[in-house]
Amino acid sequence: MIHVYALTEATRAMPRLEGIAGRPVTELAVAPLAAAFSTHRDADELAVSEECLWAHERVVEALMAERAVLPVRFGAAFGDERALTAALEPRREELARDLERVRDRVELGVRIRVDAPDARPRSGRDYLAGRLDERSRIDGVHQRLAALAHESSVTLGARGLTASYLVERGAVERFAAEADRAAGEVAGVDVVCTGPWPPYSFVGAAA
Amino acid sequence: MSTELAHHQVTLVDLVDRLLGKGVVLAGDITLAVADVDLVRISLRALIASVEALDGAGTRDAV
Repeated sequence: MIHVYALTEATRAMPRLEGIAGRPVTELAVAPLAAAFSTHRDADELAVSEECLWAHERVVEALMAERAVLPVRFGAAFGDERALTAALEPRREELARDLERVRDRVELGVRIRVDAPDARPRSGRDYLAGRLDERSRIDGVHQRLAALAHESSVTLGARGLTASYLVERGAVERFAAEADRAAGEVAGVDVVCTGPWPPYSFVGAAA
Repeated sequence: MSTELAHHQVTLVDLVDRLLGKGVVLAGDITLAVADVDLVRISLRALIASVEALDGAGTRDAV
């Protein structure tokens, strides 16, 4: 049984990497792509756990350090290399285009939260004005960060926003500094940044 | 909740969000451990509740 970590370019040899359950990571070329995968005895080795997810992530990050990658969603496996090739063949052009789109870019995760108001609103109008103000502060922070990114993907929540930004590899520090500055300058807003991640939020939709 | 543990959980939530909910979808001929994926999602919901509480408390983490 085969577990796939990421798709990458077939241009150079894969580094020696240890995957889930300590299995070696090897590559299968479906030009111009290469799939990074490991082979497992049975599905038990691939059962979802924190350890297993981190092992998957470590492999993708190690590959990302030196080449463009399309991270693959966890949870699908293939019986053998032939089945994997059959799944990739019809999509290689689309996937190769995606690979170029994320080349030299990384994903940064950001949670923007507003503090709950100190006082209870005195009226419905007061409440709505408060919520509007919260929304505009959150949006202000988002706009500042989006200006430093190529693409963004945003989910609005009750008291804030969870976003991913696709950022030039060399601009990560600038982005983090801007997130810090924004958190300091916009009253009552808290910004939590994680990453850099492989570009999970910016690659291929459903098959 | 200690800050260090809190940061770890924020990162874990981000990890789970991405690995199980995003990324290239390859239609494998075997879908793994669907029940396990659901279990992780359930425990993730509990985790997110604690992260929301944490965010409200005002934590900041650098990249």
